[in-house]
Formats: sequence, structure tokens, C-alpha cells
Amino acid sequence: MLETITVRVFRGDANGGEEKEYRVKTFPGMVVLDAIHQIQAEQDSTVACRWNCKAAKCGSCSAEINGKPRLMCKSRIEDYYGEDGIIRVHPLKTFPLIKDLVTDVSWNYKTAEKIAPLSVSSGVPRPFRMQQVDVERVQEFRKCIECFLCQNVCHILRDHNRKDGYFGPRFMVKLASLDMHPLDEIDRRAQLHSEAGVGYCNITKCCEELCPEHIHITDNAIIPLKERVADEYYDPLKKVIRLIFGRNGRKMPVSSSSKK
Amino acid sequence: MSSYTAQSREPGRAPLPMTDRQDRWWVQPVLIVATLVLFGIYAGFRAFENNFYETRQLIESQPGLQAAPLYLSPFYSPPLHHLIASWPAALSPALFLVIFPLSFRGTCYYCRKAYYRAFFWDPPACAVAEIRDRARMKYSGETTLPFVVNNFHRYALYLILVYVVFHWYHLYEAFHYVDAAGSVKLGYFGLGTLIFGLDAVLLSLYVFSCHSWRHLIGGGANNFSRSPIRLKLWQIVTTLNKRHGLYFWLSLATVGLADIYVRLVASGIIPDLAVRL
Amino acid sequence: MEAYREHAFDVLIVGAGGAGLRAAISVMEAGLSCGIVCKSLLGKAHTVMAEGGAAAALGNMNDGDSWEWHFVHTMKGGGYLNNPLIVEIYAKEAPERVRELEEYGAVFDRTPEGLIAQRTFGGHVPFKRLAHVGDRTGLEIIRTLQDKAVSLKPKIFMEMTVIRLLKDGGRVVGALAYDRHTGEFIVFHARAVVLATGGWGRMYKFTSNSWESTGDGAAMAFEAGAELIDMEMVQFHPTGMVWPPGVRGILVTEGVRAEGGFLRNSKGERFMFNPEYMTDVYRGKFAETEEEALAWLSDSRKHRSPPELLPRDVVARAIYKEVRAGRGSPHGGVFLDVSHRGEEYIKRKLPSMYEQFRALGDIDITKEPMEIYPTIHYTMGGIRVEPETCASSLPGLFAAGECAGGLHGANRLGGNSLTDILVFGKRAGDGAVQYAQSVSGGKASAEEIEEEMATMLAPLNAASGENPYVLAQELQEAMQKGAMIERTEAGLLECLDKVMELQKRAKSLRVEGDRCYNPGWHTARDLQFTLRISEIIVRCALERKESRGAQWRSDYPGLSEEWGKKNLVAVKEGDSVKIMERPLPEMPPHLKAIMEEKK
Repeated sequence: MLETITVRVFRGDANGGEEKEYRVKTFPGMVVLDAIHQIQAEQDSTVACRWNCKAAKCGSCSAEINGKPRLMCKSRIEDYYGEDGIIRVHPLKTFPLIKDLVTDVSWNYKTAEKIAPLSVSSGVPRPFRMQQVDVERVQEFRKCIECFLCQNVCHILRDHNRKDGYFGPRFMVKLASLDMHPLDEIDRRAQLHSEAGVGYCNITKCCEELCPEHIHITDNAIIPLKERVADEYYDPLKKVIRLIFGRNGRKMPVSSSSKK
Repeated sequence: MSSYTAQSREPGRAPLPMTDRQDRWWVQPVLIVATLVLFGIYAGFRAFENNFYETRQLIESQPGLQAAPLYLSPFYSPPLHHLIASWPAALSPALFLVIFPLSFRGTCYYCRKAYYRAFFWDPPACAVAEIRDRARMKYSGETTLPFVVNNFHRYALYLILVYVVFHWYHLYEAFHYVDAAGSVKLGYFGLGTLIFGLDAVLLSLYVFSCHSWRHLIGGGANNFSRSPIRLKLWQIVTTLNKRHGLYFWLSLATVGLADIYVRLVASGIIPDLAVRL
Repeated sequence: MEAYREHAFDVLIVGAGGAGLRAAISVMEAGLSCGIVCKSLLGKAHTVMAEGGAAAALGNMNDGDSWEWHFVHTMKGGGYLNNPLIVEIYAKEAPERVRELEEYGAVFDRTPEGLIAQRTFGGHVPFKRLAHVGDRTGLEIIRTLQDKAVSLKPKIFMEMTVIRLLKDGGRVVGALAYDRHTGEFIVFHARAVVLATGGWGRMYKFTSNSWESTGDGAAMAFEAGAELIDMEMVQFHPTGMVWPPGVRGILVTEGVRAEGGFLRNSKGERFMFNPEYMTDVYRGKFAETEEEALAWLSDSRKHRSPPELLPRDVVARAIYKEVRAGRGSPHGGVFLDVSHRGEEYIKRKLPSMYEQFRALGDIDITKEPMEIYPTIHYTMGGIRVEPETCASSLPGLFAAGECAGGLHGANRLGGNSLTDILVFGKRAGDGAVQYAQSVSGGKASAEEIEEEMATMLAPLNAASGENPYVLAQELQEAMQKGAMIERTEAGLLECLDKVMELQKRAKSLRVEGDRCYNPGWHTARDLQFTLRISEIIVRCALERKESRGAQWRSDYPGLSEEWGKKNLVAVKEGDSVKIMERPLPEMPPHLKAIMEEKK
């Protein structure tokens, strides 16, 4: 391991900026966030970055390290500096920049508000009885720490800037956690098909590849949701069956965003 | 040291260069394009060739041969030219038959990822920007034509199930041979039989690890515990589904291999390595 | 004069961890207007780091648990310094609050009957009492409360730091905050203010706490004249990561021991069996041989639980003593080994621990032991509150969660904090609603606002001064050395001197840069909070001349009957800290009877 490394941190705001270089002393087990902290404490206390738990549990310290979206607290420096001993740290590129490594992720919080929370019919006996096998899928989705790395890497938001049409992987996961909940009574397919925009996803899986919680965003959330939407909107056979036999116990269709 | 003062695409966002990645992110898309293009060229050539897709006639064309295997190229399966008596010999059935596997693979969730990345560069790799001018093209993903048809993947699945049955049938046939007297007998095991076996197994793994299949078999339900059988099935498919991409490539390779082998044997370039009972 | 923005709410909630969000739900459901101010993004508060579970006597494991047992265990674990009335409310309401989370969308692990699964933790044995989701229960709870709160549409101010409570005479009528993005000031007017600001661990060098844990709430309440209680009681979690240095102090959940983890010293001994470490209240209640402890793994009803599951203060002291006696691991900790439970089990029950050690420590916990050492984790003390309403000693000011004191006494049991925030988050919300409906709006003092803004801006305007990071580091060194697990009069006095010196030096700080998202500037303000709280911790620790719970005075090694009858209360007098002894609240007869019956 090198004794000192060079960390190039993007410094700037909405008006532009540039990389600034800092020499940083290393120690065993050092992560990129440690390097930023060292810079703040010893060289430049104005370097802005978010962080909280430093244990990959809160999802605050998202950044792009050598061009790859990562949590800084979970990125060991030796995995990132090459022979030249340089690590480049940039902010998320999908959200407006506030300063240095801090971006304005408020769009995500506004999007979250459009999703109706769990709703369980008063007819369901309390306390709830749910089997472990039925909740396991939902529990995987609920591991999400809202680091928004998936939102950042999703090309629909990042390159096409279609924040008007697509909620992004994080909220596909959230919708999946609700739609697959054994007791949720809301049919969320109308919302998925319309304002949430599950059809925008072209399952290129970058979100799934970099999820620090290893949630199978595409395979377990988005694709099953696409299939559920296909049941409703792209399957003439199912439509005929529904016409003849009715909905047969399926949830009531409620447009979630109108349910306020 | 690089300096960023250029306007980023959206006001207030950090500069978005094509990518800051320094690793060889382009290797994968290049490999995928190369493989699929090569396969396409070969398959096209074979479909138009309309010849050397069966081995049973070897017994007539190669005097002295004791036994000819009953191999049929998977490109010419199901054997429409046998099933439909009036099939015009000049028309290659493969040109028609290819539509269905192509539509299954073309709407396959794994394959979509592969071609959106490799062919459309949408995106070429993670955190790598696309090349075309996004400001002018409003992205609509799989909500409009042509890609909206991908939502009908399950119908392609229903049709491909017929192919799976036939591939197993061809494996069964591959244990047979035609002897010099012209009668069909069981008890043949050639290199082709082995390849057909691999092909049938891998095609089945590919088809039954399909995301749509996983949905239809039980993933659409929210209460697995009510039906242990459905749960078990879904769990098996879920396990298979994790390697869906791998099965895609392996089954593509074996179907190609099966055809190459049949062509080599049928055209008399190589004899079939086989034992007979 | 410096400009500021203004907002007015019926109830202002400071902090958006579990307690703050639960309080907000109560306020919104009562139909009042509610503002929530938090220092980080929503959902990042410290609650997210809680791992093991939320204790509540649901009785889902059919082991005969009841609120009375939960009450007794909490009192016992707290060295009987807890306020019994608070503990009673807590133990009684805990099950309802946990079940309510399911209604809001939480998805706990299940029993075969489909109910919420529960596990045991130190001090709760023999009962399995902690509702959990693997080892990420805190995340589940904060996300659930966040979703529920957001759906009720309160006004949420993210990344704003409240720096001063504003008063109208003796009553709290609002707060002054600054926007971390822009450095702008904001004045919040409110009929009632709920503090849910969490604890304080950042004055120590090795801590499981994030930057947020600087004790803002307690310090602001203190400065405004509220009483703080039990401030000497700082919990050292027995198991924090040790190696590599970059991860030192990061929490290793008690769940590892609850799932059967062994603690061993360098000689390979399970040292918790050493009778020297057993305390009188727990003697005879734990397994005394390794065979019995192993049998507990397969049948926890028939056998006594392993001594690794003694309360945290006991285990932390034992680890400290083992290392001091030269039986430590290579990096100065002891070994925690759960590999005998097998890979599949560990990955299912402790997934984030597996991931944490794999990614940060290069250790596969399914195959190798971890190295651990106590780390600063939690603060039992805090703002003194009324049991029913969570009202502080200042009218208009309420407190809930870690920043409030009284529930945990001298030591908190694992699992009691996630339920604390639920029970008293709700109570504080209800209390604030009731109060806000009974009073008219007050007027914040303009001088206070002026004064605080000037103080806040001083380091930016100063021509010269010290670097706040240097002072913060010196404080951490001093507190780590003088006010850690083992405390002595000499050590505490030395520490106090240092703290007082730093307080003086902190009057002239200087930071570079401007007001836009400037960590140096933020640190300069946080430092004032930690310095004040440190002083109070040390003064209280000096005062309490006995060893009880987290307070271990090696110069006064035993429990003192006299000290067992009183809490220490800190209150501001002039500009200095006044420490008072306060008799414990009287335990009502029905609770006495329970204590007697369930000894």
C-alpha cells in the first residue's frame, strides 16, 4: 500500500468548477471518505461532502469515484488508486450540484411523496399474520438505504433527464415492496404504467450492478413489475379471461397518486 | 489536470463528460456486437442455403454407409418440410422458422439489456454517456414503437415452448439411425447425439429461466404460502433465473454448434463419430 | 442587521430520527401544523444504524413474557436509577407501538405462526423480546416512520441545524436555525418545540456515532435553562470494530452474541464465565459452564443463557479488564466468534455484519472471529422530562428519544432504544399537541436571535483564531483518556481542566470559506455543543462517587446505597454548570410489588 496518495476532488458549484489535488497520508483499511475527512481536517475545511454513519448503512456519502458511482465509506482506497496513486472523486452527475460533492437530491423526496403508503383493509384481522416466505421478497426491497446511486446511474434520469416521466429504480423498488406486500390492498399497476413510467426502463441493469445493498433491482423488482403491468395492459388473453371471470380477488385498481 | 467550465446539459448539474471511467468499459459491448453479428451472418447464410440440414439421406448419397443418423438441424426445426407435404422445396423453411426463436430472444429481458447496451448504446456501459444527441431525441424507452412490443414477451414464450418440445424430440430421434435397408432403428449414439443433448438441456434451461415464465409460474402472486407447489416452482425458476444471461449465451452457442455439426456431417465433410447397439 | 427567513408552526420538531418522526405523526394526526427540522437528509438519522431490534413484550415466542417482566429487566439493567413511572409507561405501551409499525408498512421477520419474530438480547433473558428484521431493524423503523410521516404532509426542512431555542420570558416559543446549504438563518415560531435530537458521542475518539451526535438538543435545552439528568451515564457498547484503524469504533451488533456468538480472549477462553465479572443482581441467572451455554443454543427455554448476554455495561467492563490484563487480541481487543453457527444462518440473520466485515475489515465472519473492543454508543442521560407528556422543566419544550433522560437509568438494555423512540416519540407529540392547544403564540426575543447569529458568524469574520478541527480532536483525546469506561477522580479532574481550557480557546475560532455548505464553519458551532456537554458529563462523573451501570469509578469500585437513591441533575447557573443531587422519584406500591414478585 502506498504511504501517500493523490486525491483529486471536484471543487465547484452550479456555475462550474474543477478538480483540485490533495496529497493524503494513508493508513490500513482507509476508505475514500477517510481521505475526504483528512482533507477537511488538515488541508481545506471548506470541502463539502455528505456523510453520516460511515458504515454503509445510511446512504449519505454517494459520489463518483474514478467515474464509478459508489459509497465513499465503503470504497477502500487500494481498490481505486492505480499505479499513479491517484483517486478522482466527483459528485453525482444526475442531480443539480450544490457544492463540491454535495448535490441537490430533493427530486427523490418529492417523487417519494407520490407513492401511497401501505394500506391494509380494516377487514384483515390484527395483529397481522404473514408468512416469512411471503414477506421475503418485500424485505429485500426494504433493505434500500436511499443512497440514490441507482437514480444517479440510471441513464433515463442521467442522460435523458426524463425526471418528468420515470420515478427511477429506487422508486420502482419501493413500488415493488408495496405491490408485493401480502396485505396491501392498492393496485399500483395503473400508476406504474402511467406516471411512474416503468415502461421507460430498458432493463440495462446498471442500477442493479452497483446497488451497495445488493438488491436485485431489475430482476426482482422492475421486471416483475413490468410483467404485472403487462398482465393488465399488454395481454389480450388475460383481458379476455378478466372479462369472463372478473378480477377474481385481485386488488382494487386505485390510481395511487390520486389517493391523497 | 482536467478543468470543467463547459455548460452541463441541465442547468446546475455537475459537468457530464462522456465518462470519467478509466477501465475498459467498451470491451463488453464490442464483444457482444461481434458475437451477435457473426451469429447473425452465419444463421442467415444457413437459412438461405436451404441444404445440408438433415443427415438421414446420407444412406442414399453415400454408398457403403452402414447407418445414417437422424439428425435435423435446429434451424430447420420443427420440420415443416416433413409435416407439410406440399412445402415447396425451393423455399427454405428456416426463413420462416427463425421468426419465433428470434422473437423470443429479441424480447428476452436479458437480451434486451445486451442489445440496448451494445447496439443502441443506450447506455453503452454504466455511467458512460450515450453518443447521440439526447437534447433532440426525447427518450421513450419501451413505451412506444418499436420497443413497446417487448411487453409481449410472454407470447413469444408460449411459442418457443413448441420449439423446446421439438428439440427434445430431435434428441430422441438422434438416438436412432437409418440402416442400409432403409429402416429406422433405435440404438445410436453419435457425437451429434451428445450435441443435441446439450442443446436440448441448455435451451430448456434458457426458456425455463425466463423472467416472464417466472412471473407466470407464481411471481404474479403475493401469497406463496397458500400454495406450496407454486412456491417450490417459483423458487426453482428463481434459482435458474439468476443465470438467465448465461443460459442465453450457452443455448445460443449449442444451437449454432448443433447446426454446424449437422452441416458438416450432412455435407459429407466429416463422418459422424458414433457407436451403434 | 443580519436577515433571516421566518416560519410558524403549531409544533416544531427538531430532529427526524425515529422519535421526531413518530412525534410528527401524532401532531399531524391531531390536525395541527408541524415543522420538522433535521441536520441531514430525511431518513439518514442515527436510528438507521440501530441493528438488533425493538424490545416489546409481545409474547410472540410463547415464553411467558409480559410488560411486568420488561419493566423489571429495564429497571435492573439501569441500576435502579431509572424513573419507574417512565419505565412503566414504556413497558406497557411498547407492544402497541411496535404493532402499529406494521400498520404503517414495516415488515418484521416472522414466526412460523406468521407473527412478528423476536430474539433475545443482553438483560432481557430468558425472554425473546426484540422484534427485528435481520440486523437492520433501525433502517426498517426509520423508513416506515418516514413514509408514514411524509404521507401526512408535514413541512420538512432538511439539512438545517437548529442552534438556539428562542424564549418569551420563561417559555420556549421557537428556535433559530441555519441552512447548511446556503448559510441563511431561519427563525421558527412555534407554540411548542419537541427536541428529538439524539445523543452525543462525538466528544469521544472511538464511537459508533455519526457527525450528528454532538448533543445539540441537550446543550440548547441546558443553555435555555432546562434540567439535564444522569449526564454521567454514557454507554460503552461492548462490541465495536477494532481493525483496521479506518473502521475503529464502528458498531458490531449485540445480535451477534444473541445469535450465539462467543467472546474469547487471546488464550481462547470464554472469559465471560470468569465469576469475577458476574454482578450480584445477575448471579445464578446465567449459564455457568460452556456446556450449558451451548445447550441454550438449541433450547433456550430449558437452559440458562450464556454470560455473553449480560447487560452491556458488564460485558464492556469485562472486555476492558481482559485487555488490560494482557489477554487481548493482536490489535488490542478481544475475539467475537459466531462462525460455529454456519454460513447460511449467519448470512440470513446477520447479513449487514457479514457485509460490513467483508468490505471494511477483510474478515469472513462465517469462518473467522472478529476483533472487537468497547465503543461509545449511547447516552442514557439527557433532558429531564415528565413521564406522561415528555415535557421538560421549561414550558413549551418537550423531549423524546436519546436526548431525553430517565428511562434507561445507569445503563440501557439493547433493544430498549428503538422502542423508546416509538413510545415517547408519540407521547412527546401528544404532549406538545395538548400544550400547543392550550397556549397562545409567544414572541421570540429579538436580542436572542441577534446574539446567536453574531456568535454563529464570528468564526467566518474573525481575522485570526484556532482551527475548530484541532480543538475537536484535542477534546476527543481528552475525553477518551479521562472519561472512558474506567474513571478516576484524578483522570476526571485532568479531563475537566482540558475541557475548560478548550472552552476558553473555542471562544476565538476562525474558519476559511463562505457560508455555502462549509463543513469547517459547521464544525465550529458543533464544537460549542460538545464542549458544553463534555463539561457536564465530567462534572457529573466526578460527583457520583460509586460504580453503577456505565459509571465505573475504580476509586469507588462498589455500589453505594446512598448514591442509589439519587439522580444527578445539571442546570445552568449564570454561565456555569450547577450539579444538584435529586432523590429518585418514589416508586408506587404496585410497581414495588412487581419488583418484589419478579426479583
